[in-house]
Amino acid sequence: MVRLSVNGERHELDLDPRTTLLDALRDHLGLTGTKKGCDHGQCGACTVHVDGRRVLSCLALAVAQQGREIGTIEGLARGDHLHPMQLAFIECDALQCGFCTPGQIMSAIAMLAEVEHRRQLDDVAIRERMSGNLCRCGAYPNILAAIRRVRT
Amino acid sequence: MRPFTYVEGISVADAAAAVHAAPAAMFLAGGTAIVDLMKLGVLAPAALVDVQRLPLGDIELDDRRARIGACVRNAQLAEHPEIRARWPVVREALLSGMSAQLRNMSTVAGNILQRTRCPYYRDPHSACNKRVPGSGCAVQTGWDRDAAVLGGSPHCLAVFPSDLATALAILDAIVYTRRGDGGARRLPFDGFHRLPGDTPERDTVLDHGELVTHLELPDLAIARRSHYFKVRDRASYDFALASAAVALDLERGHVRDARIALGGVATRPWRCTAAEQSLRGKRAELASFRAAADLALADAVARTHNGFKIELARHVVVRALSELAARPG
Amino acid sequence: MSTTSPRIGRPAERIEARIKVTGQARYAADVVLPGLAHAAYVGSAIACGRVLAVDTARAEQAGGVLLILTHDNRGPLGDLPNGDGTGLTPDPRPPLADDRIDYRGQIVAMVVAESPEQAAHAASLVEVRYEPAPFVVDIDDGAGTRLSDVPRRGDCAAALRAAPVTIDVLYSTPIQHPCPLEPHATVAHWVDHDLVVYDSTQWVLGDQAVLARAFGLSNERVRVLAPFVGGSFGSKVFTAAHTLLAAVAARRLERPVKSVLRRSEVLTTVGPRAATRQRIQLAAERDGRLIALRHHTRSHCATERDVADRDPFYEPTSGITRVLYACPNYEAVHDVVPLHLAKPGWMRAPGEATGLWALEGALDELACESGLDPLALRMRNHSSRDAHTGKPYASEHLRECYERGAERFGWSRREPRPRSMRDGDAWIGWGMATAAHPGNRDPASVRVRLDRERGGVHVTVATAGIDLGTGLYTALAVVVADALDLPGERVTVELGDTRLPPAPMTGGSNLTASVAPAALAACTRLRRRLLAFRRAPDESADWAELLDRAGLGDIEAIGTTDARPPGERHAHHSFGAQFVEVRVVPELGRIRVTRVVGVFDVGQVVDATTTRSQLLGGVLFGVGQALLEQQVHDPVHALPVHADLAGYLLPCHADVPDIDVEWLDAVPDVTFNAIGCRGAGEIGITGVAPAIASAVHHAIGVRLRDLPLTPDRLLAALAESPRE
Ligand SMILES: Cc1cc2nc3c(=O)[nH]c(=O)nc-3n(C[C@H](O)[C@H](O)[C@H](O)COP(=O)(O)OP(=O)(O)OC[C@H]3O[C@@H](n4cnc5c(N)ncnc54)[C@H](O)[C@@H]3O)c2cc1C
Ligand code: SF4
Ligand code: FES
Ligand code: FES
Repeated sequence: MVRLSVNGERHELDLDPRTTLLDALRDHLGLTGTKKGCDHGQCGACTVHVDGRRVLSCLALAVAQQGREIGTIEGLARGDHLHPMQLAFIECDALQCGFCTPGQIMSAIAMLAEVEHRRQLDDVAIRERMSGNLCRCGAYPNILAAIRRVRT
Repeated sequence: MRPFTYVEGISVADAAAAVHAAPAAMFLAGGTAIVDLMKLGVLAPAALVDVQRLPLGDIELDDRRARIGACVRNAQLAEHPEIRARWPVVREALLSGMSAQLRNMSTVAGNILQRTRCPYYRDPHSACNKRVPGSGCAVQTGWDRDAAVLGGSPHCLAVFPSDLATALAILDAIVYTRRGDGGARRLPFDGFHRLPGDTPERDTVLDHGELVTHLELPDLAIARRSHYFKVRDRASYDFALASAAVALDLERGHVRDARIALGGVATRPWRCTAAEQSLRGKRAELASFRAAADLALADAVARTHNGFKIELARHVVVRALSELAARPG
Repeated sequence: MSTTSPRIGRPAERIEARIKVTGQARYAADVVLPGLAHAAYVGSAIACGRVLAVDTARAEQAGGVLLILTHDNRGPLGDLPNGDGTGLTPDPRPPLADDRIDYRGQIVAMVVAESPEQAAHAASLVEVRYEPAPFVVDIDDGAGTRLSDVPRRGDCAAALRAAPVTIDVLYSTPIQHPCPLEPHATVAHWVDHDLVVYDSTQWVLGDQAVLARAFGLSNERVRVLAPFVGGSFGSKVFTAAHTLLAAVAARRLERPVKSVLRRSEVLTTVGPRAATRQRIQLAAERDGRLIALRHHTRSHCATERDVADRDPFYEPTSGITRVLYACPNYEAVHDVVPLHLAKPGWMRAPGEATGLWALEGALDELACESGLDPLALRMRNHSSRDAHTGKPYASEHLRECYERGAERFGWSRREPRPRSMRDGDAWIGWGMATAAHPGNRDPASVRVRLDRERGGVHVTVATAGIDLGTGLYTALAVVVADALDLPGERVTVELGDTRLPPAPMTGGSNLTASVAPAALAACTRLRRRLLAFRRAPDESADWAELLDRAGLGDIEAIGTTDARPPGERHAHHSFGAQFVEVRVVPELGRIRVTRVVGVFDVGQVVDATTTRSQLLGGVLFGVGQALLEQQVHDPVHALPVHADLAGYLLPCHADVPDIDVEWLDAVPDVTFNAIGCRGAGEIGITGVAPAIASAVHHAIGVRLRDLPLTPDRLLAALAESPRE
């Protein structure tokens, strides 16, 4: 039995050791908001939080995540109250097809938590720090705008 | 992925013994290299021994050295204020590679033990001596834009891709290990990675079941003025086409001592001692840097599509040294 | 409709954004059904030849395996439609039809198991023996076949001989891949002998037609759903092999089957943009006026049989070069080179993105040669009619795009001499190119339904068309809310379901132009019917009140857009002007785009928010095309070298320049459709790559003619160039 704590809820799952955290979330917990774009750590679509840090769930084995707190896109909103980053993404139209969006949002939230002086984050720094999240639709300029909005 | 058993390492000795005892067992750290390769069918360990919860996650510092636990995350190492002050090249190398997510997951030991990105190595259908000893090397007749220009052999031309390892190569780093039979080793970083020769399947001198426990960086005055410069196709989130780790000890515009290593162009982290030697006593200026860069690449061998790497690496060395020399010191 | 409508053209909020940012949008791979089984594939290890034997014994023993399909046991599938406009498959031969191998990665077996891990593992245990045959995977190694249809006007050869200025240059583009971030995925499910498919597609009706034919069913018995699709860029038009196989397996197992392609399978089995080699010959007067344009394109297609069996695929580069500039003599020749690769397909702005790379590049060279400003050269050759058919454009504002773009960019400050701007270690260069994309429109229908609700009415707009991130949900909501004068919250839009009124595939920037006018027509009908219940002609329209008076709980109408009639008097085309600034560090082979300005005429914009996003995305597609993207196949071993996202490089955040996009206001193309909109999905990409190359030339005086402009290419060009 693998014990996972996801968005504050505890789960006991009968998992194959091969199951990645991404597949555990999607196939076993029904949390399909986290996306699989490449399954090899090369796109960022599967970004989730583990103990508050952003990681790629496609390269993390689920069994190795026991005792850690996992956060996904589904855990951000409180009822109808969206997270400020989600709101900013809507306001700035920081998405098109939406497939990279959960990963971008999870990454952006953790990114802001990583820096002490958020206000000093200029565009170049934000772009570099967000470069692990690819967006084929090219929503990048609006994603940057959304992050700027939340940063201040 | 082939089915495997997952074992959580309890102690350093047990973890090493567990892998030592099972020929098809491997260590699991951040998983960013090994899980990737298992999905591709390149690696198929029967057991994974997870080392992430072993007490190897700390960075200890004193005047003489830094002692970096094997399981320290690459992000943690890059952000450490004292590492940044005393060994800036380490931080710069780490931040020039991977993505923030990958740096949060991956460990220092995992990074220097990652495998090549050679596309034939990553494709189980291709001939590759590194993956299947004796099967041949597809690059010799195939697509070689990414192949090494230094340190290759007729059996393998694969670039060793770690940025961190390139930085460590100029820092007199030491790798500490625990062997499966209980012994321990202290391995100078210089000899840690092997040339491919006719046994490209072995990247390092580690034995099966030998666990890396720590890296040590001795305090080094020259390391305080050190720098990493990397060129890649994409502006970020990409491996090096060519990179250089450099350090300079300057006195009144002259080079007292220099360190240079190349990444992205060689089959192992590539220290350029002749180039370093050539700089000693010279003025810290473009002409000296150019001469050093020529020496660094003197033995480089171009193949069909990778010749640009020689030219590029020269410029990268010159650029790295020039930027560093221009830094207030 | 007048452009003074309250909502048309204003920025709206993307109406499906909320479910996308909360992770609630359900894409095909997110569908979970009871008893779901999972598929994995075995791809051919050779590029050409035959499968001698597929040994599935070990795989069958592996845990959880339910079914293994090969060409020996796949069972019958009907003839697939192709070319009749109802549906498309990449290969007229259904998957697992026989033992023939045409490309590396071609599916040779499908494994279905209880879990995805089990399926993938079992697939790795399938052993295939092959009889390999010689192959060709490099366009420069293959022999070309001339296509018979040669568009021409005037006498190119004579004009080229006589002209005072001539340019004769070779431009190339590599194989590039649409590579949407969502991998192609299908869930197939049989319900009482009827097929239900959740698919990642651009065209639910195309899927339906193909699947119905494959299984000998009437169309009504196949339902395809695609409410959300994670990007496509041309790659999800064809009904993929794995979609058919998922349906076969689901029928065999009497269980739903999920099939999600791995990224490497997307990159090797889903058709890419064909590689091109393009020779452009220009003849001009000394003042830059074009006299002749000859455009010879070689592009790759699938195997010889593709050429022999039927129309081979070719990259339609000349579609744009024949119409764009006033030029009395024109000739285009196409050769196709069969390669042992997955059959190429469409990728965002097919033909324009490749054809303009060559033509605009050659024009930049002509400008240099003639000592003319590149913009002035474009102005001089401007045509207000389709240069090939001679039909006038119904609405054409390209000159204005040039002028406004130049002004926003500061083009007039450009010093023409290369190597005239430097900043630190970098040379700065400015370049420009024309952007262009035809107006496309196809038959479509939309149902609009009004429901009486507490406190008013609710509107539901429905069509089978698909929003790929392109903004169709929002555009339809805007049009309907505007036409019925209702607040946006009262409008729901339903898309991507074969049960909804038929709509064309999303492709060629056609969908808004086809569907939005149909929605408007439906609204007009509804209005007319309800307004009949007004007591006086000047009574204000309260739909709830009118419904009550009519004694109706709901009312609906279908609006349609017709096919374009043959012999239209006008041509319809979108245009734009794109200006680019680059920073080049020659010795590092480094080219970075720092600034892009684009001004476009896309007709009437329906929704400003999603239109802007489309144009921005198009520009970034162009940056990827120009600097990063290429798929190389090792000519000796046939290995697809760039078969993952660490090899096939998409632009990342750090590659993004400052982008300024603008469109001309109040330029509806009213004879095109009732709204006057043309669509903005593709034009954004079309001028970017040539503008970047033009800027690089301006920065350092080196001409690059082969995409992408990677460091090795730049270094090689510098080594050859006399300047450095
Ligand atoms: C998309 C992508 C981009 C990347 N870009 C870069 C880049 O630009 N530059 C760069 O340098 N790297 C890059 N990497 C590689 C990355 O650095 C490595 O994947 C990572 O550092 C491996 O660390 P890990 O802890 O995850 O190792 P794991 O995957 O857990 O292990 C790697 C190997 O080391 C062994 N191992 C781990 N710990 C020990 C130990 N303590 N003792 C003995 N053996 C051990 C494992 O058995 C395994 O063989 C990239 C990776 C990806 C996926
Ligand atoms: S270069 Fe090395 S890793 Fe690449 S195919 Fe040859 S042997 Fe394998
Ligand atoms: S799916 Fe994990 S990084 Fe792409
Ligand atoms: S919105 Fe489509 S990939 Fe980012």
